[in-house]
Amino acid sequence: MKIKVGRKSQASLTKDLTRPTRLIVLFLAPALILYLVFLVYPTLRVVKLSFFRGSAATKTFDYVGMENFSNLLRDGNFWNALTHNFLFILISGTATLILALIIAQCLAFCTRGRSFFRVVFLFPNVMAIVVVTVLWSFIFNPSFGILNALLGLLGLGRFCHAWLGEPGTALYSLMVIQVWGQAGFYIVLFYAGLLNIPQDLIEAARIDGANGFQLFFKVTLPLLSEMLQIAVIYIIIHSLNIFSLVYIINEGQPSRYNDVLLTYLYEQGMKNNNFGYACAIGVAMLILVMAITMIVIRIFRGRTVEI
Amino acid sequence: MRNRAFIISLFILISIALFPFPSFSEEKIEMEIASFQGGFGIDFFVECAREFEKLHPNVKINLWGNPRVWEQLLPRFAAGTPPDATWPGWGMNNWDLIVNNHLLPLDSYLEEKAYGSDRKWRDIFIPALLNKGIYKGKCYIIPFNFNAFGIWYNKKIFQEHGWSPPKTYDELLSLCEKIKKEGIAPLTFTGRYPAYPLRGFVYPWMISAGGYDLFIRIGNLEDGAWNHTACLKALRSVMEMKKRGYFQAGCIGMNHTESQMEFLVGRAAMIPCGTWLHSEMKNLLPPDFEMEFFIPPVFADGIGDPTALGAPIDGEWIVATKSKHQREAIDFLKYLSSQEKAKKFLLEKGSLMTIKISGDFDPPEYLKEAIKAADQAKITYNPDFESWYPSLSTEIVNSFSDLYNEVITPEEYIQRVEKASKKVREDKNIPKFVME
Repeated sequence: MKIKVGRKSQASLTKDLTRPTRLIVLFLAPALILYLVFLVYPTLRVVKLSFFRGSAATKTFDYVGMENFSNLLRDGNFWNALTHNFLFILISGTATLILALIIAQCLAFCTRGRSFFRVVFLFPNVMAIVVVTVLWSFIFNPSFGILNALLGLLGLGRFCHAWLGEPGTALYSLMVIQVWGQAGFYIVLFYAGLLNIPQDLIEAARIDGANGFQLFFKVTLPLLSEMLQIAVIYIIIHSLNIFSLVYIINEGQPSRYNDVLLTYLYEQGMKNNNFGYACAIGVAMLILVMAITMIVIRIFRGRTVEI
Repeated sequence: MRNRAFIISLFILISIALFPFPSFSEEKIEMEIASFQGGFGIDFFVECAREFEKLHPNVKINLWGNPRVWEQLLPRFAAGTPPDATWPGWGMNNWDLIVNNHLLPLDSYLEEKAYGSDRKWRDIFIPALLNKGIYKGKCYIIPFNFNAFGIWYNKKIFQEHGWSPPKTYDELLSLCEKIKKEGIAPLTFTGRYPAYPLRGFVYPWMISAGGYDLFIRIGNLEDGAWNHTACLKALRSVMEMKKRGYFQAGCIGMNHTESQMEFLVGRAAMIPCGTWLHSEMKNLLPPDFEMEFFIPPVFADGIGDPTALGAPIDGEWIVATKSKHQREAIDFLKYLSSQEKAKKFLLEKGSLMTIKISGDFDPPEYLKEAIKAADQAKITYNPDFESWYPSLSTEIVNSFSDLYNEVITPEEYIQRVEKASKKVREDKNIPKFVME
């Protein structure tokens, strides 16, 4: 059977093949439109609103220039929230990465029960954040929580706390929940990276007399640097954008012990009806995320090892 | 020709008279009503909506709600598509909506007859509570019910030990000592939402030590109002109670349901809460559990009225300026505030009503003391300034957590809150309200 291709369509096909730009645009258009409507436009609007004073309730927005930003720089609550975000990056982020690396390494080496443990470690990731927070609220409950009960059983009753209500423990308790909740994703990420490392490289290192410690730091870690870069960027973005966990647990309260940028933004926008100021916080966050991401990319540039 | 035109015109007129076009009220109307789903739930309002639909077959009511309904409503108001009527709950700054003309003034409707009554709608409410919704002489809020805020005690534990509710602060201290000796926490509270201990201890003690005038001065952001010695005395008394170990260990880390469970299971003998407590926890009440209410004890040498009662309005119903069915929304609110419905809500949900209920009725046992306290109260108060000025409210609440956790002293608490009050007072962009 012969398929007849019309002269006109054949010509247009040839044209399209030689000039694929139109096709590319055509295929990209739906995603691009969605991206413009739901991301670029709102972002630009937020930037614009950050120079105004007004709320959802007011009908007019007054132009105030840089007032929101200058107020932001003097606002102790903003710096308090930002510090907490950075502590999330530094403490829970680092803990997550180290834990994930160790567990991924163990998974790569262990031969029995690998699939089982992979599912187990990923399990908190697939749980809804509300479930995770409710679960941990019970664990941290000062009266009937498992943690205080366990400490009591071990004779460590003096270490019992109102974990989510005291200034010394509230933030770190949330970090524990975050590490528990997000480690699974990074375990899978690193595990996939480890599987990509050629065995002959590891064997060669072993033949050269490298011990486990050297093998990890001189071979495995450099070869995982690309994954590590992705993980670090994810951790930073995730830690700067942390909201659900803090909000569901207690909206950053009591007394801002675990207030983060997004809970403060939400408070200003939705509770205090201060939309312009909330937008200014959003813009500050955008700049921060972009700046930190660029720094991380620059740090990792040239250190990535190609296999 | 003229005759024919006349006959045709007459025919048309007669036809119109005999077969009138359906009036506006008979059009099919779909109304949206949103309600806060707090301790009393929304089942009562849903039931009322179904009854209202039966009475008005042309009306269909989509009544919905959840515990954080205001989060969905604020964008709706901003977009100009609010529900026809709503009780937006404690998280909505109704005053911001009023100032910005989002709410309908209800005065003309209040002059109309109440549902099933010859009285004006305005006259069925307790005047002082209806007046809470007035801004610049116009009424914007229909108060459905209110709560008495006080301290609840475990009746069984009290009866077993022969204890009775304290009337003064000193009596409270000695009672707490007795309870503590029995291995029970005398008091617990919702530490993660300090509004509870503020209403249960701090505000009543401020009023007791400094008089209601002081509370009004605080509400009106008067310079130095917080510096009054009564505020310091109230805060120091809380810390004295803490230092003596009268508050349950760890209660600062508990949310409302957690602390209320501690009370229900008998690990704590008393808890500060509003009259919604029973309804909120009714599915978890142990079978033989009984609770009773008393107003927070006062200082024996206090100058404030000892009968003063914290009485926040609960069901604050509002109608939006941009409501598509204002008439029907008002009619529904009238139906809701009828004698029959008000009585039913009181009996079923155990709430105090802003509607004057006539005739004999037997309120639930646990509510009797609260009703008595409301009847005897010469002053009913509510920290309205918290809803008027959210940033001040945040500072008051946060400072309580810091005080309780001993991050700050009572003196520093006063300084912080006085500073926050000054900031609000001097901010020309924040609309100001008058507390009376």
